[in-house]
Amino acid sequence: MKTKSFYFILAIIVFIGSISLSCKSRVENEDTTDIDSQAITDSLLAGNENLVFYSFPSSQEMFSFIKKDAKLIYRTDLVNSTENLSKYIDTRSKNLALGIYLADLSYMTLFNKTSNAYEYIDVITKLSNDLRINLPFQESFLERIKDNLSNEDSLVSISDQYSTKIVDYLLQNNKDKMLSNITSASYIEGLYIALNLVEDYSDDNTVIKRIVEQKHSFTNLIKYSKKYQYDENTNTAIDLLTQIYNVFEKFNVIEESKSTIERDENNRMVLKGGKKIVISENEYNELKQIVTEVRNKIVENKL
Amino acid sequence: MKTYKIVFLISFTLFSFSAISQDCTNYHSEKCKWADDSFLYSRQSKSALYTPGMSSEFVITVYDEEYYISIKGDKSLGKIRIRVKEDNEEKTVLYDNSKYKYEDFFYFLNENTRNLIIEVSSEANKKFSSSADRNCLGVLIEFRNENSTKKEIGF
Repeated sequence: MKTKSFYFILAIIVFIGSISLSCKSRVENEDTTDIDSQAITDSLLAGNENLVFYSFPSSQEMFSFIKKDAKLIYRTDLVNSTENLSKYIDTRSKNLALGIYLADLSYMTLFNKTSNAYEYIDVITKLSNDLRINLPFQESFLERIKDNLSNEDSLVSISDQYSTKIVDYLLQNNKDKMLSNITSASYIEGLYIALNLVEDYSDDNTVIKRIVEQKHSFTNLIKYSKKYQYDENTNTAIDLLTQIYNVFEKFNVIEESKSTIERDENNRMVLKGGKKIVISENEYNELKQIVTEVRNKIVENKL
Repeated sequence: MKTYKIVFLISFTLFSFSAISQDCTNYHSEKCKWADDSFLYSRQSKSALYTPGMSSEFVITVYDEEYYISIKGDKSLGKIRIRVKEDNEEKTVLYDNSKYKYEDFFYFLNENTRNLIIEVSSEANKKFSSSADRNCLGVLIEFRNENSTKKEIGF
Protein backbone atom coordinates (compact mmCIF):
# COMPACT_ATOMS: atom_id res chain seq x y z
CA MET A 1 0.00 0.00 0.00
CA LYS A 2 2.83 2.30 1.02
CA THR A 3 4.68 1.56 -2.22
CA LYS A 4 1.51 2.24 -4.25
CA SER A 5 1.05 5.62 -2.52
CA PHE A 6 4.69 6.45 -3.12
CA TYR A 7 4.43 5.81 -6.88
CA PHE A 8 1.13 7.67 -7.03
CA ILE A 9 2.60 10.81 -5.39
CA LEU A 10 5.75 10.52 -7.48
CA ALA A 11 3.64 10.36 -10.65
CA ILE A 12 1.78 13.52 -9.59
CA ILE A 13 5.09 15.32 -8.94
CA VAL A 14 6.49 14.30 -12.34
CA PHE A 15 3.23 15.34 -14.02
CA ILE A 16 3.13 18.78 -12.30
CA GLY A 17 6.87 19.20 -12.86
CA SER A 18 6.53 18.54 -16.59
CA ILE A 19 3.65 21.03 -16.83
CA SER A 20 5.68 23.66 -14.99
CA LEU A 21 8.72 23.11 -17.25
CA SER A 22 6.70 23.13 -20.47
CA CYS A 23 4.99 26.36 -19.38
CA LYS A 24 8.39 27.87 -18.67
CA SER A 25 9.75 26.97 -22.10
CA ARG A 26 6.61 28.29 -23.80
CA VAL A 27 7.01 31.64 -22.02
CA GLU A 28 10.65 31.73 -23.08
CA ASN A 29 9.69 31.10 -26.69
CA GLU A 30 7.13 33.89 -26.64
CA ASP A 31 9.68 36.28 -25.24
CA THR A 32 12.49 35.59 -27.68
CA THR A 33 11.78 38.73 -29.69
CA ASP A 34 12.64 40.85 -26.68
CA ILE A 35 15.25 38.76 -24.95
CA ASP A 36 18.46 39.24 -26.79
CA SER A 37 20.87 37.17 -24.72
CA GLN A 38 18.31 34.40 -24.31
CA ALA A 39 17.81 34.25 -28.08
CA ILE A 40 21.55 34.10 -28.61
CA THR A 41 21.96 31.31 -26.09
CA ASP A 42 19.08 29.32 -27.57
CA SER A 43 20.54 29.60 -31.05
CA LEU A 44 23.93 28.51 -29.79
CA LEU A 45 22.44 25.58 -27.97
CA ALA A 46 20.76 24.61 -31.23
CA GLY A 47 24.23 24.16 -32.68
CA ASN A 48 24.63 27.43 -34.55
CA GLU A 49 28.12 28.10 -33.26
CA ASN A 50 29.05 30.62 -35.93
CA LEU A 51 26.65 33.15 -34.53
CA VAL A 52 28.37 36.48 -34.05
CA PHE A 53 26.77 39.27 -32.14
CA TYR A 54 27.63 42.92 -31.97
CA SER A 55 28.51 45.30 -29.22
CA PHE A 56 28.84 49.05 -29.59
CA PRO A 57 30.25 51.81 -27.42
CA SER A 58 27.90 54.22 -25.68
CA SER A 59 27.59 57.65 -27.27
CA GLN A 60 29.46 59.11 -24.27
CA GLU A 61 32.33 56.69 -24.91
CA MET A 62 32.24 57.35 -28.62
CA PHE A 63 32.54 61.09 -28.33
CA SER A 64 34.72 61.37 -25.25
CA PHE A 65 37.51 62.41 -27.63
CA ILE A 66 35.81 65.82 -27.93
CA LYS A 67 36.88 66.55 -24.35
CA LYS A 68 40.50 65.74 -25.14
CA ASP A 69 40.74 68.44 -27.80
CA ALA A 70 41.40 71.71 -26.03
CA LYS A 71 40.79 73.74 -29.21
CA LEU A 72 37.10 72.87 -29.41
CA ILE A 73 34.75 75.56 -28.11
CA TYR A 74 31.32 74.78 -26.65
CA ARG A 75 28.43 75.96 -28.83
CA THR A 76 25.00 76.34 -27.28
CA ASP A 77 23.20 76.37 -30.64
CA LEU A 78 24.06 72.77 -31.45
CA VAL A 79 21.73 71.07 -28.97
CA ASN A 80 18.07 70.34 -29.66
CA SER A 81 15.84 72.89 -27.96
CA THR A 82 13.70 71.51 -25.14
CA GLU A 83 10.81 73.46 -26.68
CA ASN A 84 10.69 70.82 -29.40
CA LEU A 85 9.41 68.26 -26.89
CA SER A 86 5.78 68.85 -27.92
CA LYS A 87 6.63 67.67 -31.46
CA TYR A 88 7.30 64.13 -30.29
CA ILE A 89 3.94 62.49 -29.99
CA ASP A 90 4.43 58.85 -31.01
CA THR A 91 6.70 56.06 -29.77
CA ARG A 92 9.08 56.33 -32.72
CA SER A 93 9.69 60.06 -32.34
CA LYS A 94 9.89 59.77 -28.53
CA ASN A 95 12.54 57.02 -28.81
CA LEU A 96 14.62 59.06 -31.21
CA ALA A 97 14.15 62.32 -29.28
CA LEU A 98 15.28 60.59 -26.09
CA GLY A 99 18.49 59.54 -27.87
CA ILE A 100 19.03 63.10 -29.13
CA TYR A 101 18.54 64.68 -25.68
CA LEU A 102 20.77 62.07 -24.00
CA ALA A 103 23.57 62.94 -26.43
CA ASP A 104 22.97 66.65 -25.78
CA LEU A 105 23.26 66.08 -22.05
CA SER A 106 26.53 64.17 -22.55
CA TYR A 107 27.83 67.03 -24.69
CA MET A 108 26.99 69.56 -21.93
CA THR A 109 28.66 67.46 -19.25
CA LEU A 110 31.74 66.89 -21.44
CA PHE A 111 32.23 70.65 -21.47
CA ASN A 112 31.08 71.11 -17.85
CA LYS A 113 28.26 73.37 -19.09
CA THR A 114 25.53 72.53 -16.66
CA SER A 115 23.44 75.72 -16.56
CA ASN A 116 20.75 74.09 -18.74
CA ALA A 117 21.39 70.52 -17.63
CA TYR A 118 18.37 70.31 -15.33
CA GLU A 119 16.06 71.43 -18.15
CA TYR A 120 17.41 68.56 -20.28
CA ILE A 121 17.17 66.06 -17.45
CA ASP A 122 13.55 67.11 -17.02
CA VAL A 123 12.81 66.50 -20.71
CA ILE A 124 14.64 63.15 -20.60
CA THR A 125 12.57 62.14 -17.55
CA LYS A 126 9.30 63.05 -19.30
CA LEU A 127 10.22 61.06 -22.40
CA SER A 128 11.45 58.11 -20.31
CA ASN A 129 8.15 58.06 -18.38
CA ASP A 130 6.17 58.16 -21.63
CA LEU A 131 8.23 55.21 -22.88
CA ARG A 132 7.69 53.36 -19.60
CA ILE A 133 11.34 53.39 -18.65
CA ASN A 134 10.78 53.07 -14.93
CA LEU A 135 14.12 53.74 -13.30
CA PRO A 136 14.49 52.53 -9.73
CA PHE A 137 14.82 55.36 -7.19
CA GLN A 138 14.14 57.92 -9.92
CA GLU A 139 12.55 60.47 -7.57
CA SER A 140 15.37 60.46 -5.04
CA PHE A 141 17.81 60.72 -7.93
CA LEU A 142 16.05 63.80 -9.31
CA GLU A 143 16.03 65.28 -5.80
CA ARG A 144 19.78 64.86 -5.66
CA ILE A 145 20.10 66.72 -8.93
CA LYS A 146 17.95 69.61 -7.63
CA ASP A 147 20.07 69.79 -4.47
CA ASN A 148 23.24 70.03 -6.52
CA LEU A 149 22.18 72.59 -9.11
CA SER A 150 24.79 75.07 -7.91
CA ASN A 151 27.53 72.48 -7.66
CA GLU A 152 28.89 72.10 -11.18
CA ASP A 153 31.15 69.11 -10.51
CA SER A 154 28.42 67.11 -8.78
CA LEU A 155 25.93 67.94 -11.49
CA VAL A 156 28.31 66.74 -14.20
CA SER A 157 28.78 63.46 -12.38
CA ILE A 158 25.06 63.02 -11.58
CA SER A 159 23.98 63.86 -15.16
CA ASP A 160 26.44 61.31 -16.47
CA GLN A 161 25.07 58.71 -14.04
CA TYR A 162 21.52 59.47 -15.18
CA SER A 163 22.28 58.60 -18.82
CA THR A 164 24.08 55.45 -17.68
CA LYS A 165 21.11 54.46 -15.51
CA ILE A 166 18.74 54.68 -18.48
CA VAL A 167 20.96 52.50 -20.66
CA ASP A 168 21.45 50.03 -17.77
CA TYR A 169 17.70 49.84 -17.28
CA LEU A 170 17.15 49.06 -20.97
CA LEU A 171 19.82 46.35 -20.93
CA GLN A 172 18.63 44.78 -17.69
CA ASN A 173 15.03 44.72 -18.82
CA ASN A 174 15.76 43.21 -22.22
CA LYS A 175 14.63 46.28 -24.09
CA ASP A 176 17.39 45.87 -26.69
CA LYS A 177 15.13 47.02 -29.49
CA MET A 178 14.43 50.30 -27.74
CA LEU A 179 18.12 50.64 -26.86
CA SER A 180 19.11 50.30 -30.51
CA ASN A 181 16.62 53.02 -31.54
CA ILE A 182 17.69 55.42 -28.79
CA THR A 183 21.40 54.78 -29.43
CA SER A 184 20.94 55.35 -33.18
CA ALA A 185 19.65 58.87 -32.49
CA SER A 186 22.41 59.49 -29.91
CA TYR A 187 25.07 58.47 -32.45
CA ILE A 188 23.58 60.78 -35.08
CA GLU A 189 23.36 63.71 -32.65
CA GLY A 190 26.91 63.07 -31.37
CA LEU A 191 28.23 63.01 -34.92
CA TYR A 192 26.28 66.19 -35.76
CA ILE A 193 27.76 68.02 -32.77
CA ALA A 194 31.32 66.80 -33.44
CA LEU A 195 31.14 67.75 -37.15
CA ASN A 196 29.88 71.22 -36.30
CA LEU A 197 32.49 71.84 -33.63
CA VAL A 198 35.25 71.54 -36.23
CA GLU A 199 35.74 74.97 -37.75
CA ASP A 200 38.03 74.28 -40.67
CA TYR A 201 38.89 71.10 -42.51
CA SER A 202 42.50 69.94 -42.54
CA ASP A 203 43.99 66.55 -43.45
CA ASP A 204 45.75 66.18 -40.11
CA ASN A 205 42.90 67.30 -37.85
CA THR A 206 42.71 64.70 -35.08
CA VAL A 207 39.01 65.37 -34.40
CA ILE A 208 38.16 64.75 -38.08
CA LYS A 209 40.23 61.55 -37.93
CA ARG A 210 38.18 60.40 -34.95
CA ILE A 211 34.89 61.41 -36.60
CA VAL A 212 35.53 59.27 -39.68
CA GLU A 213 36.63 56.36 -37.48
CA GLN A 214 33.06 56.26 -36.14
CA LYS A 215 32.35 54.17 -39.24
CA HIS A 216 33.33 51.15 -37.12
CA SER A 217 30.78 51.89 -34.40
CA PHE A 218 28.10 52.63 -36.98
CA THR A 219 28.81 49.26 -38.60
CA ASN A 220 28.31 47.44 -35.29
CA LEU A 221 25.19 49.40 -34.36
CA ILE A 222 23.57 48.72 -37.76
CA LYS A 223 24.38 44.99 -37.54
CA TYR A 224 23.05 44.87 -33.97
CA SER A 225 19.85 46.74 -34.94
CA LYS A 226 19.22 44.47 -37.95
CA LYS A 227 18.18 41.71 -35.56
CA TYR A 228 15.11 43.83 -34.84
CA GLN A 229 14.41 45.09 -38.35
CA TYR A 230 10.97 43.42 -38.33
CA ASP A 231 10.02 46.27 -36.00
CA GLU A 232 8.84 49.35 -37.90
CA ASN A 233 10.51 51.85 -35.56
CA THR A 234 13.84 50.01 -35.64
CA ASN A 235 13.60 49.83 -39.41
CA THR A 236 13.30 53.63 -39.51
CA ALA A 237 16.35 53.97 -37.25
CA ILE A 238 18.33 51.54 -39.46
CA ASP A 239 17.33 53.56 -42.53
CA LEU A 240 18.62 56.78 -40.91
CA LEU A 241 21.92 55.12 -39.91
CA THR A 242 22.28 53.60 -43.38
CA GLN A 243 21.94 56.98 -45.10
CA ILE A 244 25.00 58.10 -43.14
CA TYR A 245 26.81 54.76 -43.46
CA ASN A 246 26.53 54.94 -47.27
CA VAL A 247 28.71 58.07 -47.16
CA PHE A 248 31.17 56.38 -44.77
CA GLU A 249 31.41 53.54 -47.27
CA LYS A 250 32.70 55.89 -49.97
CA PHE A 251 35.80 56.77 -47.95
CA ASN A 252 39.10 55.31 -49.01
CA VAL A 253 40.49 52.62 -46.68
CA ILE A 254 44.20 51.88 -46.88
CA GLU A 255 46.17 49.19 -45.10
CA GLU A 256 49.35 50.86 -43.91
CA SER A 257 50.76 47.66 -42.45
CA LYS A 258 49.54 44.26 -41.27
CA SER A 259 48.05 44.15 -37.78
CA THR A 260 50.56 42.80 -35.30
CA ILE A 261 50.74 42.48 -31.57
CA GLU A 262 53.98 42.86 -29.69
CA ARG A 263 55.28 43.82 -26.27
CA ASP A 264 56.73 47.27 -25.66
CA GLU A 265 59.54 48.20 -23.27
CA ASN A 266 57.05 48.21 -20.36
CA ASN A 267 56.03 44.63 -21.16
CA ARG A 268 52.63 45.90 -22.31
CA MET A 269 50.98 44.35 -25.37
CA VAL A 270 50.62 46.81 -28.24
CA LEU A 271 48.26 46.25 -31.14
CA LYS A 272 49.89 47.92 -34.14
CA GLY A 273 49.17 48.45 -37.83
CA GLY A 274 45.87 47.86 -39.53
CA LYS A 275 43.70 49.96 -41.77
CA LYS A 276 43.32 53.71 -41.95
CA ILE A 277 40.40 55.69 -43.36
CA VAL A 278 41.40 58.59 -45.60
CA ILE A 279 39.00 61.33 -46.71
CA SER A 280 39.09 64.49 -48.77
CA GLU A 281 37.53 67.83 -47.87
CA ASN A 282 34.64 67.18 -50.30
CA GLU A 283 33.89 63.83 -48.68
CA TYR A 284 34.04 65.43 -45.25
CA ASN A 285 31.52 68.08 -46.36
CA GLU A 286 29.29 65.38 -47.84
CA LEU A 287 29.30 63.57 -44.50
CA LYS A 288 28.50 66.79 -42.66
CA GLN A 289 25.63 67.52 -45.05
CA ILE A 290 23.96 64.10 -44.76
CA VAL A 291 24.37 63.99 -40.97
CA THR A 292 22.81 67.47 -40.67
CA GLU A 293 19.90 66.49 -42.94
CA VAL A 294 19.19 63.28 -41.05
CA ARG A 295 19.54 64.93 -37.64
CA ASN A 296 17.21 67.78 -38.57
CA LYS A 297 14.57 65.31 -39.83
CA ILE A 298 14.61 63.62 -36.41
CA VAL A 299 14.55 66.89 -34.46
CA GLU A 300 11.69 68.31 -36.53
CA ASN A 301 9.92 64.94 -36.51
CA LYS A 302 9.63 64.99 -40.29
CA LEU A 303 10.51 61.40 -41.06
CA MET B 1 5.22 8.55 7.05
CA LYS B 2 8.93 8.40 6.24
CA THR B 3 8.07 7.83 2.58
CA TYR B 4 5.95 10.98 2.51
CA LYS B 5 8.82 12.98 4.01
CA ILE B 6 11.20 11.73 1.31
CA VAL B 7 8.66 12.50 -1.40
CA PHE B 8 8.12 15.97 0.05
CA LEU B 9 11.87 16.61 0.10
CA ILE B 10 12.29 15.41 -3.48
CA SER B 11 9.38 17.52 -4.71
CA PHE B 12 10.62 20.58 -2.80
CA THR B 13 14.09 20.22 -4.35
CA LEU B 14 12.60 19.68 -7.83
CA PHE B 15 10.42 22.76 -7.66
CA SER B 16 13.18 24.86 -6.14
CA PHE B 17 15.38 24.03 -9.11
CA SER B 18 12.69 24.86 -11.65
CA ALA B 19 12.02 28.14 -9.86
CA ILE B 20 15.62 29.28 -10.09
CA SER B 21 16.08 31.45 -13.13
CA GLN B 22 19.54 32.50 -14.18
CA ASP B 23 20.03 36.23 -14.45
CA CYS B 24 23.48 37.03 -15.77
CA THR B 25 22.89 40.70 -16.58
CA ASN B 26 25.42 42.09 -14.09
CA TYR B 27 27.73 39.09 -13.89
CA HIS B 28 30.63 40.88 -15.62
CA SER B 29 30.48 43.90 -13.30
CA GLU B 30 30.10 41.77 -10.18
CA LYS B 31 32.54 38.92 -10.85
CA CYS B 32 35.21 40.08 -13.28
CA LYS B 33 38.44 41.61 -12.05
CA TRP B 34 38.43 45.42 -12.43
CA ALA B 35 41.47 47.43 -13.51
CA ASP B 36 42.49 50.45 -11.44
CA ASP B 37 40.46 53.69 -11.20
CA SER B 38 42.21 55.30 -14.15
CA PHE B 39 40.20 53.04 -16.49
CA LEU B 40 36.62 53.76 -17.52
CA TYR B 41 33.88 51.19 -17.94
CA SER B 42 32.93 50.37 -21.52
CA ARG B 43 29.30 49.75 -22.41
CA GLN B 44 30.57 47.00 -24.72
CA SER B 45 31.03 44.71 -21.70
CA LYS B 46 28.76 41.67 -21.81
CA SER B 47 27.44 38.74 -19.82
CA ALA B 48 25.70 35.69 -21.22
CA LEU B 49 24.45 32.24 -20.37
CA TYR B 50 26.90 29.54 -21.39
CA THR B 51 26.94 25.76 -21.42
CA PRO B 52 30.13 23.70 -20.91
CA GLY B 53 32.17 23.56 -24.12
CA MET B 54 30.29 26.43 -25.71
CA SER B 55 31.95 29.16 -27.75
CA SER B 56 30.69 32.43 -29.16
CA GLU B 57 31.99 35.63 -30.65
CA PHE B 58 31.16 39.28 -30.38
CA VAL B 59 32.49 42.28 -32.23
CA ILE B 60 33.65 45.42 -30.44
CA THR B 61 35.06 48.77 -31.52
CA VAL B 62 38.37 49.84 -30.00
CA TYR B 63 39.79 53.34 -30.35
CA ASP B 64 43.44 54.40 -30.05
CA GLU B 65 43.40 53.87 -26.31
CA GLU B 66 44.47 51.35 -23.69
CA TYR B 67 42.08 48.47 -23.01
CA TYR B 68 41.67 46.05 -20.15
CA ILE B 69 39.48 43.07 -20.95
CA SER B 70 38.69 40.78 -18.04
CA ILE B 71 36.82 37.45 -18.16
CA LYS B 72 35.13 35.26 -15.59
CA GLY B 73 32.93 32.22 -15.88
CA ASP B 74 31.10 29.89 -13.52
CA LYS B 75 33.23 26.98 -12.22
CA SER B 76 31.20 24.46 -14.25
CA LEU B 77 32.45 26.12 -17.46
CA GLY B 78 36.07 25.17 -16.67
CA LYS B 79 38.91 27.27 -17.99
CA ILE B 80 37.76 30.23 -20.07
CA ARG B 81 39.62 30.80 -23.29
CA ILE B 82 39.62 34.22 -24.93
CA ARG B 83 40.88 34.83 -28.42
CA VAL B 84 41.07 38.29 -29.95
CA LYS B 85 40.82 38.25 -33.73
CA GLU B 86 40.95 40.75 -36.55
CA ASP B 87 37.54 41.59 -37.98
CA ASN B 88 38.31 40.37 -41.49
CA GLU B 89 37.55 37.27 -43.56
CA GLU B 90 40.60 35.40 -42.30
CA LYS B 91 39.81 36.27 -38.67
CA THR B 92 43.54 36.34 -37.89
CA VAL B 93 44.14 35.53 -34.23
CA LEU B 94 46.01 38.35 -32.50
CA TYR B 95 45.88 37.08 -28.94
CA ASP B 96 45.06 33.74 -27.33
CA ASN B 97 45.08 33.46 -23.54
CA SER B 98 45.63 29.67 -23.71
CA LYS B 99 49.23 30.56 -24.60
CA TYR B 100 49.45 32.54 -21.36
CA LYS B 101 48.14 29.97 -18.85
CA TYR B 102 44.55 31.09 -19.42
CA GLU B 103 45.12 34.52 -17.90
CA ASP B 104 41.76 36.04 -16.99
CA PHE B 105 42.58 39.46 -18.40
CA PHE B 106 44.09 40.99 -21.52
CA TYR B 107 45.65 44.43 -21.21
CA PHE B 108 46.82 46.18 -24.36
CA LEU B 109 47.37 49.48 -26.10
CA ASN B 110 45.59 49.85 -29.43
CA GLU B 111 47.27 52.18 -31.92
CA ASN B 112 44.57 52.37 -34.63
CA THR B 113 40.79 52.45 -34.30
CA ARG B 114 39.36 49.13 -35.47
CA ASN B 115 36.77 46.45 -34.85
CA LEU B 116 37.93 43.31 -33.07
CA ILE B 117 36.27 39.95 -32.70
CA ILE B 118 36.29 38.61 -29.16
CA GLU B 119 35.87 34.83 -29.10
CA VAL B 120 35.06 33.43 -25.68
CA SER B 121 35.01 29.67 -25.10
CA SER B 122 34.35 27.36 -22.21
CA GLU B 123 37.06 24.67 -22.16
CA ALA B 124 34.98 22.24 -20.09
CA ASN B 125 33.84 19.02 -21.76
CA LYS B 126 30.74 19.49 -23.87
CA LYS B 127 27.73 17.75 -22.39
CA PHE B 128 24.23 17.14 -23.56
CA SER B 129 22.72 20.63 -23.32
CA SER B 130 19.92 21.27 -20.95
CA SER B 131 18.76 24.40 -19.18
CA ALA B 132 20.33 23.14 -15.94
CA ASP B 133 23.80 23.29 -17.57
CA ARG B 134 23.54 26.99 -18.35
CA ASN B 135 25.74 29.23 -16.28
CA CYS B 136 26.94 32.78 -16.36
CA LEU B 137 30.03 34.08 -18.11
CA GLY B 138 31.08 37.73 -18.24
CA VAL B 139 33.47 39.88 -20.23
CA LEU B 140 34.33 43.22 -18.67
CA ILE B 141 35.82 45.85 -20.96
CA GLU B 142 37.51 49.00 -19.65
CA PHE B 143 39.50 51.67 -21.43
CA ARG B 144 41.64 54.71 -20.74
CA ASN B 145 43.29 57.38 -22.73
CA GLU B 146 47.03 56.78 -22.69
CA ASN B 147 47.73 60.47 -21.96
CA SER B 148 45.63 60.33 -18.79
CA THR B 149 48.21 58.03 -17.21
CA LYS B 150 51.19 60.29 -17.91
CA LYS B 151 51.88 62.11 -14.68
CA GLU B 152 53.75 65.39 -14.59
CA ILE B 153 56.95 65.24 -12.63
CA GLY B 154 57.98 67.93 -10.12
CA PHE B 155 56.08 70.88 -8.66
